[in-house]
Amino acid sequence: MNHKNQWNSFFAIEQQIHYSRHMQETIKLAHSANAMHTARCHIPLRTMVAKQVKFFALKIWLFQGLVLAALCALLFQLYSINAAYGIDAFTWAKHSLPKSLCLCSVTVVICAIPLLSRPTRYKMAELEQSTYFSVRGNLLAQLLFIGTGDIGMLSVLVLLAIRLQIAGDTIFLSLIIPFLTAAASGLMLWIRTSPSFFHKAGAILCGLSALFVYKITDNSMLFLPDTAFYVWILYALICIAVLYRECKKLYCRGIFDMLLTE
Amino acid sequence: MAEPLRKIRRTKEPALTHEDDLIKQFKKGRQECLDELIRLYYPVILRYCLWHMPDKDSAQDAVQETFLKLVRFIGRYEPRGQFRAFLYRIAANTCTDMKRSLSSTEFLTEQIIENTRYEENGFQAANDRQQLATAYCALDNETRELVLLRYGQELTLREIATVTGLPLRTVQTRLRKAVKTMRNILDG
Repeated sequence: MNHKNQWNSFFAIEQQIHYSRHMQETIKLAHSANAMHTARCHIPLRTMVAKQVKFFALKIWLFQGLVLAALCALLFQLYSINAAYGIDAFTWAKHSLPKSLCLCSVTVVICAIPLLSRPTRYKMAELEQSTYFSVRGNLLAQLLFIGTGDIGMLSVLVLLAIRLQIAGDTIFLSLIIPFLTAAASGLMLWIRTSPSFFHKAGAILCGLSALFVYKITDNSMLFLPDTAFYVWILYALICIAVLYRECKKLYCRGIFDMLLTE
Repeated sequence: MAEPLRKIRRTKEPALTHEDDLIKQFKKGRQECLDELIRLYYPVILRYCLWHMPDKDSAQDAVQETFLKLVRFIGRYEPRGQFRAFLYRIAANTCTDMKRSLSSTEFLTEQIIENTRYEENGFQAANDRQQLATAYCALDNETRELVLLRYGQELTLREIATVTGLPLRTVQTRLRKAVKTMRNILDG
């Protein structure tokens, strides 16, 4: 313990300085600063999110609704190709339905990118100025809206797929797994890369990752029909855990940024 | 030196530290609680700033700015026993900003050795301090910060991890290595 005491006294150089006058001045200035500092209403995240539903969320959900309508139209079109169009066309349509589900899931994720890119591209900070949130805190709120919309879109697509008589495991492997892959990889890229890189390459990379995983699911069911499904359930849980962790990291970093920026 | 943290037991709320209690009282309008906080932490924050700023005057300016920022951001602090880390984080950022605006680069070795000449009680004591200064200067900037926070400011490892943003294990490993390096230099 000797060295600790010695080192502590080595660092204690303030003892040789007369600071009481300066300390009193600091106390006076702190009182003035406190008097001048108007009580700012700090809005917690949930209140801010609730207020933004009217302004931002409706726009996001409308856009997602339009995309969903287009996807449903595509699926219906494929399903409506029956034997009257010819056997080849009918077979092709039947085989294309699961692939279309995969493309739908990737589209659900990618359609969020222009919504996220707008505030970062134009560096819009009016929300942050009025709510004293960091940019990251605000983007987290937007992610919540987009995530809610994505879940809604996925639910509709799942119900539609059931209506179109696609098997449950096909829906899981063609829709849910690529969606989770694209969402997790997209979020990880978005947090770790610059906005310009994400806008140019992020969409392509998360789309490619989803398609790659879909190809693997397709082949895995051929080679390991009994066990592959359980592996993919575990994979889905890992993707959900990654999504949760990234959102939590974004939230925590957003809070800390908020603490020390003027 | 700041007084040791005292826990005040309350019946229904979780245990508060003395600092958290002062902040709570200050938020209710008791200005004297802010005075007590400043008096408690002024010396240690001054010590920290003296080791980061090029001279005494800019160090005192940095301390003042730290406490003014504390007043501005105190509304966002949640009393969870992490006041020290919160305050040191503000001090660290303040020193970084001020050094940047002063166009001052890293703390020069000569300034560190100059700091040790504040006290010269006998040749042996002065010699020990010079050796310690040399050992301290042998470390890189990031490690010096850890050593200062641990042995100069007596923060816990967890608080140091919060202030520096490093993982706890990294702080432990680097401190252990720093102590070993310094002891090697001092011994031989």
